[in-house]
Amino acid sequence: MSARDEILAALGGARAPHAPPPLYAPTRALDVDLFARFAASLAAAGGEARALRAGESLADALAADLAFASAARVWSSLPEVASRHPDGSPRAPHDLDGTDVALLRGALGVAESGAVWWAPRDALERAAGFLAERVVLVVPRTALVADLHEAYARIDLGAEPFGCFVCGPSKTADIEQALVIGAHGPRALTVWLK
Amino acid sequence: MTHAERAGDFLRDPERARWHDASLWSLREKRDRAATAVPDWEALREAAAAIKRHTLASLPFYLARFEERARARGAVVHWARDAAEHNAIVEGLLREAGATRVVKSKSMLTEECGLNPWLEARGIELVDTDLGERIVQLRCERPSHIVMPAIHLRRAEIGALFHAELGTPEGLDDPARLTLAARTDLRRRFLGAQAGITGVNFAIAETGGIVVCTNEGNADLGTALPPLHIACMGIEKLIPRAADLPVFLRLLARSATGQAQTAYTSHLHGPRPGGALHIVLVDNGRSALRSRADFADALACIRCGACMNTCPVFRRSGGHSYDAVIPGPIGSVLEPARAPSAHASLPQACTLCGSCRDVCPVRIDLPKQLLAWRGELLVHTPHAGARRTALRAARFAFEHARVYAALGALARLLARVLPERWLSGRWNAWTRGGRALPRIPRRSFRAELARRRR
Amino acid sequence: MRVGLFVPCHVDQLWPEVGLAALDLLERAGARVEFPTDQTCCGQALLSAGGHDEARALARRFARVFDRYDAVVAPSASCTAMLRVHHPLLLGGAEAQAFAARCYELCEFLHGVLRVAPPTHAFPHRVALHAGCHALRELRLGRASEGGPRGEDPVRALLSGLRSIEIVSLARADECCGFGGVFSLVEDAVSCRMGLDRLDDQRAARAEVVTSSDPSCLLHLASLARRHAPELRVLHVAQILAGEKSA
Repeated sequence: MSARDEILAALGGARAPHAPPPLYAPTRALDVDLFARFAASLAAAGGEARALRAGESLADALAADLAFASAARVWSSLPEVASRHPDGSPRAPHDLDGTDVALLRGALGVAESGAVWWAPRDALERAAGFLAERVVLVVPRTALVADLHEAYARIDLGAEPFGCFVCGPSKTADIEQALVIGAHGPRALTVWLK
Repeated sequence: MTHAERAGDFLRDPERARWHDASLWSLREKRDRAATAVPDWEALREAAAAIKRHTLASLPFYLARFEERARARGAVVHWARDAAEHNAIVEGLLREAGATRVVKSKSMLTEECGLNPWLEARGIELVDTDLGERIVQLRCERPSHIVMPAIHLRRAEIGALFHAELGTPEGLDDPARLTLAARTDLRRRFLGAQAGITGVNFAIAETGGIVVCTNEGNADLGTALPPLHIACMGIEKLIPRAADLPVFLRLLARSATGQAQTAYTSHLHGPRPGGALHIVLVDNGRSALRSRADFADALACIRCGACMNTCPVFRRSGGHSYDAVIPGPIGSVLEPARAPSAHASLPQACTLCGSCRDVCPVRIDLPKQLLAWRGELLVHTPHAGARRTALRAARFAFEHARVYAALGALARLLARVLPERWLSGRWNAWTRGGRALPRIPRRSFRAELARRRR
Repeated sequence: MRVGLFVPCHVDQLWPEVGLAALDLLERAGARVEFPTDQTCCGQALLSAGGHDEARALARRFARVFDRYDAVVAPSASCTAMLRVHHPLLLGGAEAQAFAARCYELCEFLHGVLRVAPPTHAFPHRVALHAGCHALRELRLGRASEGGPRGEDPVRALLSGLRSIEIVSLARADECCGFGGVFSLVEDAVSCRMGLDRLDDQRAARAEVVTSSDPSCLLHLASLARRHAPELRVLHVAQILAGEKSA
């Protein structure tokens, strides 16, 4: 008997279950300012939420950001902002090491936690999102939801081989519980809502 | 050694014990604040408990479904009966890929199977990338907590370790700068790795996907770069549907560290283009535990560590005093199933205060299971014969009111009459730790009552 | 209503004042109280030590001794939890469930069943209320700081009428005292550390008196206080309510 058969037999065979419990329906507060809540949650997670002003383009907002303006290596998944690859176009995920800023498109934002759903288009974008020193995620303001239940209802999970809720920059508190922002991944995260 | 003996050693450094207790208590307080901020917290716990019990009851069905859907996405699914089989499968996959430099993110399952020593003995370099795990790996010791592996260490100790192993300046103990040194070292290893091994927080039967949660981004760096990803999971990690995920995700990080969500919640459905994803499903005693009505519920555990943070005994004895892969309340339930004799003292390392039951996000009745283990493991405890005899003698005395009353009167007489030196010797576990004998009354309540009514 | 007074073995042998205070309080409240003399022990310590069979035998005996009463009342939350939660699990069956439902902790009975007016005599002291784990987390007579189901705390309710009493705030409102039955002997180092931490918390709040509805917690704390904090007076809540002036 294969290991598979033995294990399934030990578990009593593969009968179809009685119906699973009904999908959970959360308690939701009404009249929540989603942007304010999202911004507060993201700040608590070590990130920053900013809103584009009416008529302001992302390119304008970034131009005013000194750190971005002086960044040598930029990965951009956004058509309106150009990438900067002074060492030539990256061809493998490893080539993204040394990226200063990764500009990524987020599909939605979760007010309860400050998380953003990001489904990179390819292996290069995925690597950029974790190797970059700083990540900028751009999310449509209308794509803010209250909580994760709402988020999963909108996501087509499995449509992409990789999808990630990004909630602030990487962090750790493994040394004496002292919070350090910027562990192995990005050291800063900004979410622009437009 | 028993837990009690190791706990005694731990407490011989009262300042360190106090510091350890305060560190873990602060995590418990963070968890309290986070839970209070969620109005439907108790309903979420109820829902999570129900989903897990349902899934465990129909586990073979959901496992078969998960395998089918994961394979449809291009993942390769392996099954391992036990730790040795798991280790052999992982080794085989690495050899096949020619991978000798491997990075691994946090996985208590791989700890349970002893994967690290297995691979290292066979010439494969395996680097743990979670900062806490990296620290204990460099120290050649076990994690002392399933979420905060190095919580037993002071910054000076980590500074000294990094000075020896990573070349940081002597005396440097600032957490941010030490973390930066680890970041630099591990970045090199991520870029040079030929394979990445991760654990699995949740496996979704409906979609065939796996979910991995980290704060450091180490699981993602370890799987976005090397072409081979091996995901190791216990068979109990399954949940039925994608829509069940938010129930668990809203509970997990809040219970563990008081955060609303971990920095990264990654969902993997099949390999990335040009890469390979292998999922290893491990039994290693889980099907056996599931068939035990008293203890099956322990399989609902989502490895949040909240029980450890709240446990007054864990906080004052440290994870290493359990001498087990998983310490604390949940460890004291899971480990004796694996090795009853070795871990017989663990269910006794508990006052049955019940706080762990109140914080468990999936509502495992830990005190009930610990009490059940005490009966089963009596035969494995030190002086088991004497304990059995004492229990029988106590039963006899309490079944005969006059015997009980006479013995009580005798004990009180001896306690009042014998010299204190005799009574407070090393043999007396009541006084050994710093308690005085209680004030001994002349007459029992029943004697006083009889006097009153005369 | 015939009330059977259960005086736990450790109260009977080591702290008779608590049994006498409980009896006084119940009689003053107009209850018809009896102390069946063939009672001995609820078996909690035996269960805690792994003696399920022995505990079961004592549970059976307990039910025989107290079966004739409409209510069984004990000045001990931990023993009451044994009667209400564990006896039915050990014995099984509807009869055991019905009996368990008639078992009460003293304050719970005075406040919730007899609905006595809280006493109003003077007790001009700073009092630390030790929340015993069995009262809080098994009987749910209160609300644990970590959450979970909540209930009313009858101890606090009954103390609330005393003149000049000051109930102090503790840094850790409801951490376990470390007694835990057999635990106090098997893991004496941790047990004493936990108890001393409770005393430190109580002293930091400048408490003069430590009280609780659980005499086993109090015996453990009192044994530590005798050596480490002799200025603290340890009193069972029944003694305070009954108007006792000395420990």
